[in-house]
Amino acid sequence: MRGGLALVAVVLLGTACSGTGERHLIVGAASSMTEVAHRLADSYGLAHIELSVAGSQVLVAQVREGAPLDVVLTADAGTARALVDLGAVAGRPILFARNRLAIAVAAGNPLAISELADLARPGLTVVLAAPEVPAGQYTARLLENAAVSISPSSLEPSVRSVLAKVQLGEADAGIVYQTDLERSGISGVELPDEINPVTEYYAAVLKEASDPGRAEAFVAYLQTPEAAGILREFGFLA
Amino acid sequence: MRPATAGNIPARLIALATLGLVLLMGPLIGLLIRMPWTRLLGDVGDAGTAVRVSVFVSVSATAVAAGLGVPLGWVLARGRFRARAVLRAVILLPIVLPPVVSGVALLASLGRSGPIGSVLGELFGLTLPFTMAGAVVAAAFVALPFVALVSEAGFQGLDRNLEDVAATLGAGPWRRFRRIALPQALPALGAGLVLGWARAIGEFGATITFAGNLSGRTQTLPLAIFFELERDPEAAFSLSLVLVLVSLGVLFTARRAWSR
Amino acid sequence: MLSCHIAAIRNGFSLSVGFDLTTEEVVAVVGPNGAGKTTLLRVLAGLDPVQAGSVVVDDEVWEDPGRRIRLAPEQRRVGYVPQAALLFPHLDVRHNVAFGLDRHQAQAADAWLDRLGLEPLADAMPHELSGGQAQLVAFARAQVRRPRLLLLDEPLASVDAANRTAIRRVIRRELRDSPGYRVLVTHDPLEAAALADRVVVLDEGRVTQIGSVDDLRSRPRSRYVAELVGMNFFSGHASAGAITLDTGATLVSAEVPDGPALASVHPRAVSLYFERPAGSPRNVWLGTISTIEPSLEQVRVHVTGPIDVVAEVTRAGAAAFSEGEPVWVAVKASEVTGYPQ
Repeated sequence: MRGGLALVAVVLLGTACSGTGERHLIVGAASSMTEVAHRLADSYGLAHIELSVAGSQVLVAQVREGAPLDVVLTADAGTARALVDLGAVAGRPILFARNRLAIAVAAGNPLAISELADLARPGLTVVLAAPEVPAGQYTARLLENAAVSISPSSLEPSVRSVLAKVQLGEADAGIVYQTDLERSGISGVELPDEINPVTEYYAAVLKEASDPGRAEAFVAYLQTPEAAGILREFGFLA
Repeated sequence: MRPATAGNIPARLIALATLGLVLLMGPLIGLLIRMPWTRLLGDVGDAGTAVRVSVFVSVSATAVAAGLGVPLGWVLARGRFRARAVLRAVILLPIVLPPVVSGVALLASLGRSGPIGSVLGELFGLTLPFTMAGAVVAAAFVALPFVALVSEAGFQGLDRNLEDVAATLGAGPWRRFRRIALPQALPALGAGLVLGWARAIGEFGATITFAGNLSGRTQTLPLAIFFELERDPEAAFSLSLVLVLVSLGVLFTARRAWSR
Repeated sequence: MLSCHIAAIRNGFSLSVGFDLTTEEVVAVVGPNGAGKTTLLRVLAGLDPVQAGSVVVDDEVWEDPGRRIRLAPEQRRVGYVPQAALLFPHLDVRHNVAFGLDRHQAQAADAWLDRLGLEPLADAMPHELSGGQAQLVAFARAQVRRPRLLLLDEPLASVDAANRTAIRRVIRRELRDSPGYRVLVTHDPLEAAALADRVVVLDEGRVTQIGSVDDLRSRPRSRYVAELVGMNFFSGHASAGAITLDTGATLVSAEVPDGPALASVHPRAVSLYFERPAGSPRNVWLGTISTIEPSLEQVRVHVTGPIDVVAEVTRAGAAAFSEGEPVWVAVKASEVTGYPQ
């Protein structure tokens, strides 16, 4: 019995404590920031930044259930507010980048989609981000601003799966962030500024951060000209 | 059979088994503790559409899995060919694959531009992604292995001499299957169908990847729970409990009905 | 005529038999366990394939691997009654019997239930039947299709002793009345004698003797057959009425052609004495009683000596003997049936 119990105990303890040997900064990021967050982490130079990418609603749920995150990068003000409401944020969330929406279409735009109203064409398979995620809320605001009504084929759990469905050819069009179109290999249709809601990216240091000083330092870095250059390179407005 | 008494089981095994039970029961108990009981009925009522989609999709998927899985089980049990071990591994695959991978594989083959999906589209005007049929296919894909392998085990357990006797009485292969093997294997087939159904109603990853998420069409209860977690976490708890209780109830009654 | 001349190899066991049979006779295949009896039935039913030879029934080729002909079991007009009855457990008696019938012939099943006295059991499930009842149902199930070839595997093996006589009588009657070819397998010579006209003796996959039960009894061609029919068996070389046995001893027979010879002696024709008998017996020797084996009426006394024999004596007569004691053995020359090897 001692052998069996000891084995179970060793496995559980070993895996639960594996992060404590080297001090990592664990950064939770909204999925629309996957690539840029990696670049920012690299250029920041700290050897041990661990990125945990997930949809915004998953990030909030993770924080609520006590996931060991130090910093969270959200893709909208609402998610940042939700974190504040949970009482999880140390200080205030910092706005560090903006983005805008665009229509993703197959490479070369074979269906000649030129404006938002084209997405209401019958027979067109359009996927949108679910209203539970920031991209979905921005999309709703966009459609409201333009007074266009679309019947989507699917409300995807993250903006990246909207992009994937268009990339795979399963959907004819989707609404994604401008930044998602960079390096995606598919074409985009820009949307006019009057209807395009500006999306805001916030960085929040969590109260439960294992090393608040290092977390603060990383958030401060996001506001430097160097970080802004990287963000612009990925299509963000910074 | 001898009644099992605690005295027959070494204490060290009881300790480890208890630990295992705690691991299995812990999350369920947590769900019960966090349950907003007063809201239960209202939340379930609000999720009526997702419940209806789930019931329709899981039952249809079970029917598809039965129609294809029972013949597969028969081929495995009675076929005389070398590739049987390979075939068995292939059939097992959906059980061990992460459901998302199953969804990606389904997209790659049955999606609009996949080799099979494009043919279906051209010949029959049939598209599976983002349709309820797609959700059924995704659920059937993950349920099929359970039906096939449990059927195979059921067929293996039959006395083949009875099929031989049936052959001497003029019964060809189909009649031997239909009139001799199938009725005798019914308890096993029932168990396979229940397992397949349980897997189908809990299906999430393959469905959201392949069939997408649209209320009333492809949003099943697990998908609704996933999105509800953001909008209203307490409602997610209610719906999770409903799913747990329904699955538990079906598994329990099915076991009693079929363990003779 | 049914002609079966085949070689079948299965799991390392090789069966090589040849015999013909007519619709005039019931044939029993007799042999020890593992002789290939059941395999032979399965081959005839088409359940096991053969590697060479052919099975031809009434000029219809059922199986001939050389000509790539093989009828599936369902294409052969056979009726197979397996050893353990093997009724379909999910069907009641009536539906078991009617299984091989088209829907519009279903009343034929009731006629057969009636004929075998099974109609009170028509709605019973197989697990409710005794071994004998199950055997009769299996018999009816096969017979209802009027098979050209009827195959019975140990028809009485799963019948308890109390019902054996009754069931045997029914099966004997039905076998007589069946118009086609009839083959049964048994390990019991009494059953073969009761049910069959001709016996095919099978041992280790080979036919060792074919003949009537009387032939087998008076002229067994192997020690196995002799033991099967309870006869003393000897082999040797005959010259001028005396057979020199392989052991060196001599046995005098009233009539035996010169040359390699076999001989049989009925145990009842072997007499035992405490003192050397006077008078006519030509074969007299001193032996030792090895075992005394009582049965219901007779007692079999095994005697070792220059010639090992078994004597059958009455229970009363056996009381005087005990194992290990010397005894004089006498056999009249007229009781020694000699025949060429």
